[in-house]
Amino acid sequence: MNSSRWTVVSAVLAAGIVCAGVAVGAVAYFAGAGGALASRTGPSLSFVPKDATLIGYVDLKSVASSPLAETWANDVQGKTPFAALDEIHESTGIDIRNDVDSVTLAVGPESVKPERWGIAVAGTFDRDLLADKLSKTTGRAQTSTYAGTPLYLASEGTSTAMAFPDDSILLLGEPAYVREMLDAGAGRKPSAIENVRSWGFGNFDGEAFWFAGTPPDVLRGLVARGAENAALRSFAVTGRLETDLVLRARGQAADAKTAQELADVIRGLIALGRLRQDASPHGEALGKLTEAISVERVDDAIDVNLTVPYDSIRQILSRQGKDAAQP
Amino acid sequence: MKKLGTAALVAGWSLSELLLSPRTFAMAALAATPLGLALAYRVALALRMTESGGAGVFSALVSGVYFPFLAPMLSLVYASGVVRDDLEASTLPYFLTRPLGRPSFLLGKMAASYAMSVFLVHPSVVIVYYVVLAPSGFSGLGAGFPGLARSLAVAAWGLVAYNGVFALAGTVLKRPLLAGLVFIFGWQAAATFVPGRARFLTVSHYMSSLVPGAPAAGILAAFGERSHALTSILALAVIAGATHALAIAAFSNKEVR
Repeated sequence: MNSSRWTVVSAVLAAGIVCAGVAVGAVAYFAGAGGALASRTGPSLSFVPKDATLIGYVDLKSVASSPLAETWANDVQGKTPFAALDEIHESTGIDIRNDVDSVTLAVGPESVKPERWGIAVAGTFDRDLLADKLSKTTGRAQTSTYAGTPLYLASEGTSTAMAFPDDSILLLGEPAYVREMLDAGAGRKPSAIENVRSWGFGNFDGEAFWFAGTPPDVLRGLVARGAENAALRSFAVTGRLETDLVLRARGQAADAKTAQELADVIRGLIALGRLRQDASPHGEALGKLTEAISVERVDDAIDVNLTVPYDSIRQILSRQGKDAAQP
Repeated sequence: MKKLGTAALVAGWSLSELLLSPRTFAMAALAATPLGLALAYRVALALRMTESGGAGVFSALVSGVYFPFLAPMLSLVYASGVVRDDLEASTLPYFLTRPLGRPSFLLGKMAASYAMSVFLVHPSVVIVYYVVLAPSGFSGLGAGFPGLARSLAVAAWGLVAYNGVFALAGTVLKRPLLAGLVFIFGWQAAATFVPGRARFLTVSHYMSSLVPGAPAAGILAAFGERSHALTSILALAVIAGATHALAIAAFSNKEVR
């Protein structure tokens, strides 16, 4: 074989390996994304009013099918959040594991009292059953209508309202905020979709859960005390659960100098955590966690990443279980 | 167009020469070292000596082996010889007697050296990806695919910058290999740890900024600072463009005996 043919064969071989690898990876990626999309409805951001200061999203289908849920179910029998789900089903009629696809939480501005909060639950619901359960659980439920949508208001204890803008969305929350959510969903008022793009990484596609917003007042004095402007303009925490437990947090600081100071504070806290590492199960777990954390500053943002393999979580949980079982 | 055709002709011929050269076998062995590490990881996983996930190991290999060591070394070996090899073999004067423009000639040689680097780095990255992520199953391969795609793209872009830097060194300096080694293991390594703006004068900083990489531990975590993705892409483009242009300009005015 002459040199030209060697060149062609080698080039084809190298290109073939790369193309085949990329093609198989792409098929695996989009096949997985397609299957997840069937169960993942995405955050119901259209129902979140624009002035929301904190938004959270949990893809319950992803969480329930993740190795993390399996680890909890196998290792911490009876103590997991899933044990409480049966109580929720009994009291509200909502079977979170089967009927609910995702939950979107919204909290209104701190300055408004009483605190505005709302939850948009995406899934499959029986409206009449839920209304009946609400009235039995809370004593008496008032029914009214807001912009053509029935609104169920529990009048005993805490004030909570429930509404069904359509068959696949359930809104729960503080009555005034539920009305605002209905307005946002119907397009009568702006929603928080644009806000979310400016928080954290700006794109939460593929995340099993995320929380983002503007930091509460208690965190504003953390750095640059006495400064007029808030040190942290926004934050976002995201999580993926497919292969490892991957947590990412990004804080957008007021400027690069503040970001550097915040990064130094976080690194100091991690160093303190490492100092507390010892041979006890708690100390060992803390040591492993602090070693898995990385802190990076990107311009005026601070990125904190934590990747914990599920094997480590299983070891920590089983050690804690043995520790608790010992007299 | 004629100049591009000439450059392509030189690139094809140069590529075939490089493929059959002894140094390529050595470089192929070097490119296979991450595969050895990946296989060691699989053995450790099978023996339950490690708990690390495949995605984290792949990320660590990319950010700890490929980008700071393998990619610049391969680029150095090939790009530094674009002029130096023919000069030492005393064949360069004969090439220049041919109706080939000097810029086209050097452009073709640089394209061939870049192609060789890519031919060795990219298949290695893909094979290592599948070796370390195979235990995660099909869904794990899919979940890690964005990391693979990103690593391949960043490697391709970073190799362009390295190719320009070392081709310039090969054109201008008498000992480009030594200078390249000092650049990789001296300047780039030191600039990572020196506080300040020294890291902006390295290629490795921008490459590592484009790939999040494995969670840094120990002392490296204390200096974790990255540039914005767009800044990094543009910086690499500027480095690549400037160094390639300077190399061509230097070669065009070089006296060859």
